[in-house]
Amino acid sequence: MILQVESVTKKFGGLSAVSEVSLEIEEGNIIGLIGPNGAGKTTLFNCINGTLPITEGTIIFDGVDITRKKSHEIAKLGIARSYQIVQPFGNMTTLQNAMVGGFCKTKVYKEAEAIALRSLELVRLDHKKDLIAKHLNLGERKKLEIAKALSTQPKLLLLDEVMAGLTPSEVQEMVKIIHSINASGITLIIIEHIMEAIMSLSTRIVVLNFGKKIMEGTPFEVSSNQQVIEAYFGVEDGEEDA
Amino acid sequence: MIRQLILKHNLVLWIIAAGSVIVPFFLPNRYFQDIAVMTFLWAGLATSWNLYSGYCKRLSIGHAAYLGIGAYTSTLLYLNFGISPWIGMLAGGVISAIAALIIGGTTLRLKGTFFVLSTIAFAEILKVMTITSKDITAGALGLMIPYQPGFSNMIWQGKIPYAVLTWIYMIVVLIISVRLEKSKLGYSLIALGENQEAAENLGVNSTRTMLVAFVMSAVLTSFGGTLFAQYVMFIEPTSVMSMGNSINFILLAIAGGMGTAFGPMIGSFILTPVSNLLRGYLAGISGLHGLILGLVLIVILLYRPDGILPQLKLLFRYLFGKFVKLGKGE
Repeated sequence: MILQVESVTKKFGGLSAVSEVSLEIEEGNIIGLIGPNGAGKTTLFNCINGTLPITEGTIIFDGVDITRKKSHEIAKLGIARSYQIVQPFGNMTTLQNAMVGGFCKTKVYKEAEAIALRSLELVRLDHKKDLIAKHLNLGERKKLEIAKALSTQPKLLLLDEVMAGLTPSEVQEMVKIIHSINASGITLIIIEHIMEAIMSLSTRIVVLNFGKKIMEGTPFEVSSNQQVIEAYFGVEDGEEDA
Repeated sequence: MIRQLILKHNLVLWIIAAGSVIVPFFLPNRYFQDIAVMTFLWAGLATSWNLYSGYCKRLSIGHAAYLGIGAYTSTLLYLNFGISPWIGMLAGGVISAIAALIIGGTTLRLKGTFFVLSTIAFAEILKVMTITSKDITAGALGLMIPYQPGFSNMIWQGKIPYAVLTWIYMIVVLIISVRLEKSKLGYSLIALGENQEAAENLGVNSTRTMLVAFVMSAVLTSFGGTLFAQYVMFIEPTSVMSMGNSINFILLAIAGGMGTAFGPMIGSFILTPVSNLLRGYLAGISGLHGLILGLVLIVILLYRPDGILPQLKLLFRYLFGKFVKLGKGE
């Protein structure tokens, strides 16, 4: 068990963005996290990696209670994340961007550089290493997000809609990249709206709706579940009573 | 090889920085030599300021406070206890470090404008305290350092030794700055300046990173304060710890190129002589030099908001890139 989320609740004022969500994630898996807009997926990520303090519940990562830890401490323990809205350090080069993450576990310049180069190779961005990050296109920025996160040498990687806005061929490339990241021994949780991609990638899928976990299962189980279909497509008139 | 040195390792900028030491020896009189001393001193000071504020883009408009701590500590130790300013300089550094730890520890977590205001407040409070503690600091009368030349007193007859000393100061700060850019601390600082949340998620401890850089910046500024006191040999609160001084740190750094190791130096090399010469030659109409200097700054900020340095680099690339290529026969 690499990550245990135990009935985590996050309230913003009176509103529960995430309420009593529990997850148990085995090492080496790719977990898909899906749900309609506003279901609390990104908020759950923010709770796991310490960006937001949680209201109730506990989170245990690799045997360590990280519930009250700060995000830089959690990064050092081995959870990395990418952002839905890409956040490159615009005035640094692609390589320097990744090196910020590379310095997470070392102080030596050459080592950080080597780590950063390896993660750029993994996401196939090494040919753009000397380009200033603000000149990258969206697909490249999404890759850079992943490379930065990978450079912290995580055990668990949280990917937040890394395929949104990409062309179909870029999506295919991203699927391959995610597979190769997983093959290198990193557990992943991915939020995604592109069903085709998430169904083929995930070993298990967790469905959130209005902050609550409504379903967990294999891709096949999830896609044939009535509750999930209702959450996505709504309920037809007259069906509610049935 | 040479081309790479020039383009990647700022060879030309190092040559400018190192070569500038010979300039004072060729200057015809004390007036111009004085400008050279001030140029080196302010290059070092602005580079010190840049270590924190430039890289992580959080303006400190109160660095005159650390200039003041450096100047007053060494001067008071020298006048009261006869302690050499060389040791006084280190003592000033220690006091500045403590002050920066306390001030930074409480204010660095403030965001945006609030941090800027807190730095101004600290500098003003320190200035007022210096004026009112008449028993220790002689208040607004200021302190005069008696003229007793000698190495241990850090006092010399001509201006050349001061020029060399301030040049060494500038080079030391510059080397620290260049090394910082290649270190974990530097990468963390720059990333923090770009996007704090994203940096923290990559394992950057923002509180510690900012505090270390802030203390470094304050200590190096304080060393410059001692040099200033020993050179001018007269310090008073309103001139040393003035808002004008605090702003000068920022102006030089921004005009030259904030957040770059060589930018503040270039800023000082251009603006300090210009402002001094304008003051000298336009003395007839009072205030005219300020007006012209202000206009120059507005033009720089309007058309080249990232400063002069990036333009210089483009120029070097153009000039030397071609030149070296031809030399190689490519």
